[in-house]
Amino acid sequence: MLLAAEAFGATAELRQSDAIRWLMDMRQGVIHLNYRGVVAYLKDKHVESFQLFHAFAEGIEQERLVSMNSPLREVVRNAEKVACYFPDTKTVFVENKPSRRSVLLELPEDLAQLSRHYDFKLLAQEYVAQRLSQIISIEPRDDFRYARRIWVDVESKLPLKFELVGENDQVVEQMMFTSLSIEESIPRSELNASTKVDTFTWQINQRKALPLDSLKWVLENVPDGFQMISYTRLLRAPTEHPVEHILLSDGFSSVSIYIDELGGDVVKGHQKKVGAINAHSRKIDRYLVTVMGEVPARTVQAIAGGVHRQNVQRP
Amino acid sequence: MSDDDLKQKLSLLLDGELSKSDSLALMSRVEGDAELRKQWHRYRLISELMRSEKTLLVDDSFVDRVRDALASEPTILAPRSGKHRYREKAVTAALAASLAIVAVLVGKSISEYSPVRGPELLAQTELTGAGNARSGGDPQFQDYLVMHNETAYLVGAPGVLPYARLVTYDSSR
Repeated sequence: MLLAAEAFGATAELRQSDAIRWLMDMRQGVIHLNYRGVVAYLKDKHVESFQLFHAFAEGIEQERLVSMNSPLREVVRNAEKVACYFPDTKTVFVENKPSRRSVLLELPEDLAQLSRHYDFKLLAQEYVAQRLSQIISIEPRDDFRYARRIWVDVESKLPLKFELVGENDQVVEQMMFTSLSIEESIPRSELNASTKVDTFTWQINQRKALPLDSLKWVLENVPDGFQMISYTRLLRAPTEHPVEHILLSDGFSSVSIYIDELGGDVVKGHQKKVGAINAHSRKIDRYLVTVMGEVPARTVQAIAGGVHRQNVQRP
Repeated sequence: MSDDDLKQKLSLLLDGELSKSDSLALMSRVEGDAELRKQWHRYRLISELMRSEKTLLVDDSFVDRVRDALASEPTILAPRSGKHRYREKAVTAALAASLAIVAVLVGKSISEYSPVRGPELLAQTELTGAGNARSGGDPQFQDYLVMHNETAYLVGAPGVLPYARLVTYDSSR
């Protein structure tokens, strides 16, 4: 009996490591291949499409992602910067020296570490965009995270389809290649921004990284596995009103905490849910604390409930 | 005039259903009566809440205040005559319903996650169906959403498709 249980445990571990190996191969494919395609993105029963161009040459990645319908937004990433263009609001967001991340699908460095909070499994194989793909299931081990399913192209190891699965097994967000071609190279013209920026009329948003020891807030109820990975002060154009922003991540899911000093006593609250994103707000003294992320409602509620000012006696 | 009559008249005044002379008389009385003034502000707040898709942020004692207000609110059972009868009923019912909705939502927020009981909770206006997905009219929420996705990507937070969300996000919705 004991041997059978041990054998079962070993098999489960083997299946888990097989699934992790697929995901690691996928990460390599996403970075090192040259490809272009059209991606359909579904959220709240609403479908949007965008074009994706990705190139890898001489050890450097370049990417461009542009929406196919209005508003025509664009994201361009190269070795020096990431620029996000929002023509409808005449805003461009530029980050210099970006970390090496793909706009398509990013995975954490240490997948084995993630197995503490997620269970990885290989499911069946299916065709997506006429390409055979392996389905990988990523199930959370608690109620604080969403499940994921990824369809990985058997030949190229690119992710062809992705689903974020909410409560009651409902798909809350979905991405899928409707066409994909893997190329020897991608011409430079397809990788450069097509949006023209007039510096006199466009707003450039700023971000200032803050040292962690300057944080005046304590986060008590953060579910296990979530870590603080960024603490910044954002100055949002055009008013330059500062908002503190803490970003937490468990490797797959990201949660933002915004701390905004209020101008008045009564402020606008927020809708609770948009697509996969849940949000929850609290007023603490003269601050509005808003927690949002692609996690279940209970997670943002839990995190918001545990935020308090340092050295302030709570009731 | 009894307290009940006064409260009903306040409801009618708020709804523009009171005659000019009655309105002036009542407003003059409201100005001189602190308790009535509080009642008036409460009714106005509720009215705003009912008309708005926005939510209001509330403080520590909000639930207690709602409970107290409900406890002290008179139950109006006697039928009334006159052309405003239907209107009065509708106003009273709507006010009661709005209080009940706020109370239920706050109660739900607390019970959904028992280990954490934040001292302040957002009174959330839950929209249904497509309306829930559309966050139009709340630019701050949309701004936060954009920042979340931008930062998640820019600082290298592992995640899936933060930029697909940005590029396809429709600010007009």
